Amino acid sequence: MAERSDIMVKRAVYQIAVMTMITALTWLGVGIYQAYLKPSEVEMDKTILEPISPNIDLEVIQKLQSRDRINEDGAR
Amino acid sequence: MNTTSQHYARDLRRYYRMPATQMSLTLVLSLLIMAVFIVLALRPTIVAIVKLQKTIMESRKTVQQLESKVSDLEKASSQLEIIKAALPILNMSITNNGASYDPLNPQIELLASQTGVQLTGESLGPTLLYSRIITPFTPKKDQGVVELPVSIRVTGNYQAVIMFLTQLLNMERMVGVSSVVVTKEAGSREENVGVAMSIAGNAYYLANEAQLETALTEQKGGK
Repeated sequence: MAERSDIMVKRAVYQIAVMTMITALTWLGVGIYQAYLKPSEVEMDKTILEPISPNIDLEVIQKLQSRDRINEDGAR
Repeated sequence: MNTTSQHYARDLRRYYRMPATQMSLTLVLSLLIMAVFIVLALRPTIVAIVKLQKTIMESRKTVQQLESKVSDLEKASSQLEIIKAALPILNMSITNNGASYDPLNPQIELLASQTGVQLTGESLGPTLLYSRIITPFTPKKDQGVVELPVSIRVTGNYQAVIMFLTQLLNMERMVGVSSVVVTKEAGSREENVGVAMSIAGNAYYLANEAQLETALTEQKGGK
């Protein structure tokens, strides 16, 4: 009877339980880390996200408008 | 066999009543059940939460980028409305339908006759006139400004050739001049000095430069 109760409270049983728990927690941590590293499933065409410059140099446009048009009748 | 198991069950009940065994079993079984729970239920749930959080974060970033782009597009659209009237002039300055030899060449000839100089030489660089395979002149985002080499030689009196050069630089079709060489014409009299002016530069047009280069290289290679 005493032997059976010894088995129930043996240190090895605690060690196995604790090691199992640590392994489970480690695996949980590895899973979270992998989920962070894995690229997201949301994918978009990179060209859509490329920024554009909304500024048009109006001074250049004015300069172009002031250039001469050459016609056959000599009028400009 | 049955007697043995009954006896064993009775023994277990008796052992379980012992405080040391009770504590030990509770602790060990709790740890094991928790481990099983973590592996089978908690891990997939937490991993799914982390994935979703990451997706949400990236989606928010994408939405911000798109909102910024929409705002930029709105600004560009309002600016385009302002310069809409000038677009034909812009398309004439830097043509968007090929190198357009036709308006450029007659314009240079007209300019020469209007300024009173004699056009003794003119050459325009190579370009692609037509292709059924590639479309470098179709308006697309990958188009850029392509240079068309231009070289002109005119003769006349000094004032006339200078006037020709000034008006060439101010012509509606944009021509950039990179070099000008003025030489005295042989045999000209002192009171009316004749000069020859050689102008080298570039006109510009819109095209897909990569496609154009490929086509021109293939033509040079005789394919």
